[in-house]
Amino acid sequence: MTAVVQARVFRNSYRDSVELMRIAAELESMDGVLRAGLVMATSANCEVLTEAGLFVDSLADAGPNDLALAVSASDAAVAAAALELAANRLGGQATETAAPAQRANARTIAEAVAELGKADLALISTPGTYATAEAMKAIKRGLHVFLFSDNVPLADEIELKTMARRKGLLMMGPDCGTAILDGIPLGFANAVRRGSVGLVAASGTGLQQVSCLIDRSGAGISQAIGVGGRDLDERVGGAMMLAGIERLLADPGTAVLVLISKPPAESVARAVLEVAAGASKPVVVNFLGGDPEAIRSMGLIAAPTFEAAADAAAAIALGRPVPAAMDLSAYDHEAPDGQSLLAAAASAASTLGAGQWRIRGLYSGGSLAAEAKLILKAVLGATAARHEILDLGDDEYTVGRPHPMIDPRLRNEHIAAAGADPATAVILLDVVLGYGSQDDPAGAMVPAIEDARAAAAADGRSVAVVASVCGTEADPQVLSSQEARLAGAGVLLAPSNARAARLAASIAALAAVASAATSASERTRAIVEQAAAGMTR
Amino acid sequence: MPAIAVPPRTALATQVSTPLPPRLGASRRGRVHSIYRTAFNVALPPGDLIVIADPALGGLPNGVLVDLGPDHRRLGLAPDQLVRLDARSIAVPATGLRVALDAAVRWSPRLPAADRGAGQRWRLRASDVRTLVATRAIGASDTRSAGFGGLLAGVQSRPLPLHAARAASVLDQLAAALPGDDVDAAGRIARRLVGLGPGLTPSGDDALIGLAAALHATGHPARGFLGEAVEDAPARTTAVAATLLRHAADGEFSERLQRLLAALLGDEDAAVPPAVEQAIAWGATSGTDCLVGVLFGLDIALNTVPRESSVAR
Repeated sequence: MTAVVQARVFRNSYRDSVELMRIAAELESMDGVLRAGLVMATSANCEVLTEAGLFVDSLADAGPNDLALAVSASDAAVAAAALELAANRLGGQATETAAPAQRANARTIAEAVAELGKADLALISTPGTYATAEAMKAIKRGLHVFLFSDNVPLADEIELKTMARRKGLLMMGPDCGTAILDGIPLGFANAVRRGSVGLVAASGTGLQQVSCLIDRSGAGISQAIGVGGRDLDERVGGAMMLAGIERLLADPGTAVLVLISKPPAESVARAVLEVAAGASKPVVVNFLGGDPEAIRSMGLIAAPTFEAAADAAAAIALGRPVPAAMDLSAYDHEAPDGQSLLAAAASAASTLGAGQWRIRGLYSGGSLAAEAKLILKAVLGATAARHEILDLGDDEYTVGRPHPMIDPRLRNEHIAAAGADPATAVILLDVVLGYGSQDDPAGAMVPAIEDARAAAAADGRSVAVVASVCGTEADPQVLSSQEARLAGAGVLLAPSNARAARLAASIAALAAVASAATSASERTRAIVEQAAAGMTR
Repeated sequence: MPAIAVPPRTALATQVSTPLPPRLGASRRGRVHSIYRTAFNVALPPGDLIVIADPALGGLPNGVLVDLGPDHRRLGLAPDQLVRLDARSIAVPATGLRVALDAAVRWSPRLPAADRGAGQRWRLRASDVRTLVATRAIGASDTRSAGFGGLLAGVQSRPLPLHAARAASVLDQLAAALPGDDVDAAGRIARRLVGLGPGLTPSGDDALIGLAAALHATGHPARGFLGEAVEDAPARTTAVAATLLRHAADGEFSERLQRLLAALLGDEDAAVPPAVEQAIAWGATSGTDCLVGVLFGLDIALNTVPRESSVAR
């Protein structure tokens, strides 16, 4: 019988000797294992391994602080199995003999998997520097990964996604904050009804808005896969967007797909749209700010806003006719609840003073802020740039401070400042509910809104406050009670961020029209005439 | 991403090795090197390793003893984290952890030389100690003999592991070189033990430290042999072992080694068995390997090489 020798090196490995001894003993007791050497790769030990016939080329460049594992076995399969066993043991520790009263919590992915028995997903939220290694360990073990961490280098993202693709696994992230898998919400997700709409999203709050609006219209979500904000970058190539599409097409529980992203790089857009076009199920594509024609020409449904995407998908899922594609600037005069958006805008605009013109958007969701900016541009044209839409969740605001979805203080400060500014006409807000958000976002915001109004009133001004609540009845915060709280504070509510942005834009447009008026009654007349004409430019 | 606040905590060190605070001086920067259950190491450029350890480990020549809970791996430490050190504290900003050195007892890692009566006492108890050690070494789990344990007289296990056989041959040569007081020759021979054998501190290094301790305790003229042997230790063994070897070459040892030698050479017979048992329990094989070195060193220094040489296999 010729013995087979295989070896592996673990770089910069610092395990305590008791552990190493245990692993070595375990290896030597395996059937078919003739000898096992588990030693630090010092030159003295490499000489001994050579003498023992255990030295192989792969150990040649190992150094004294690297751990060398060499196994001599009756055949290659046994040797490989022994190395694998040792690698698993080294990847985490076997549960130590703790005192009976203590129960050690799993410290590593290996331990956790052992404890759970059957795990298929790892949710990783560690500082960016360490995230890659952990994600890699998980993928190597055959787990899908939800990677919350940001500050992960692009090269690492590419490597992780390539590895995951090869193994048929999902690598969601980095910087992925939201997903709903098999009905289980991960990260910043909402409690939405289960149904037949599948989402693949490179945007967290986009996923939240679409899923909540689908829930509102009576349809439900089969799977909502987050892919991380950078997935559709040219260098990443939409790897996970494509993987997500594949999965949803193969999922019997999904009848219609929705793809959500800001416009991808051209090559990536082409690749994604081609796959979508050849799909056996209808695909709604929401590339925020992208060209709808390119999408329609491939036979796909182009949705310019999150709301349009949700409406189209829900209609398909519920077997209803798909609404006509809405332009960003299109007005819908009748909201589903019967309230005319224009009428609401007109009455708000008529309460404003001559010098009030500015929209101050104070957002916690980045994609919602982006959508608002697009809508403002479409409705107001060139003058849109004079208004201010802030994404308060952006890095520049969150260094050393919690995210506004978790801590209301930063946004409340801005609300107060907006109220104090005599040029402010409208404060535009997003209120995001769900498992990751604070207990009572509306309640936390109302005092600041009331203070802002009071400050303006002291100056003889009124301020319009417009908001949309992204959430569902089943969310811990309960959609209807959050809306009621805001309505009670005089906030003008819209059922979606797109409508809220349009409402704010309408108020500003009508206020601008009236700015030339010299008296209050002239002002009101000008606004009503304009509103009636249905024109906003 | 949401920021997670880390509550700062300061722990008071109970004991610190005397050379350490002056070496830290006004302000030094290091990096977390490695983390274990009962200790973690900090790499301090240009080549030092400081260990922050649980008090149960006893004084260490490069160490600070502090109670940080049952598992140092749960403190949020990670390799490469920045560490700020000065004579008064050691802090890891990323984890909010700070170890204050002010109130710590200063402990010296230097080995006191034994008194004149030590030689006589040792001669009287040497063979009993050897029997005791061999019995305990066999009685302990099989893994204990995986280091150099097989070299202990009377321990009949499987054929000696290769590294132990190699060590036996080196010790034979040392047995010839040391009595001649040829420090350089002894150093060159001893160098072959550096990095040899299993363990995070390879067996050969533990044996050399034990040997050096025995020679220091007995004031042997060749006790400086280790300096020559460990000049290039960082290239030939692990970082942790290299640090301990360097301290041993300077005559600085751990508290438990100090206690072991004090018991073996002291005037209380009853203190010997528990000291031996405790020594065997160190690490996986570190204790046994160190003991091999200690016994070898005492035999050389005090002329008690047994008729059946423990290394003549």
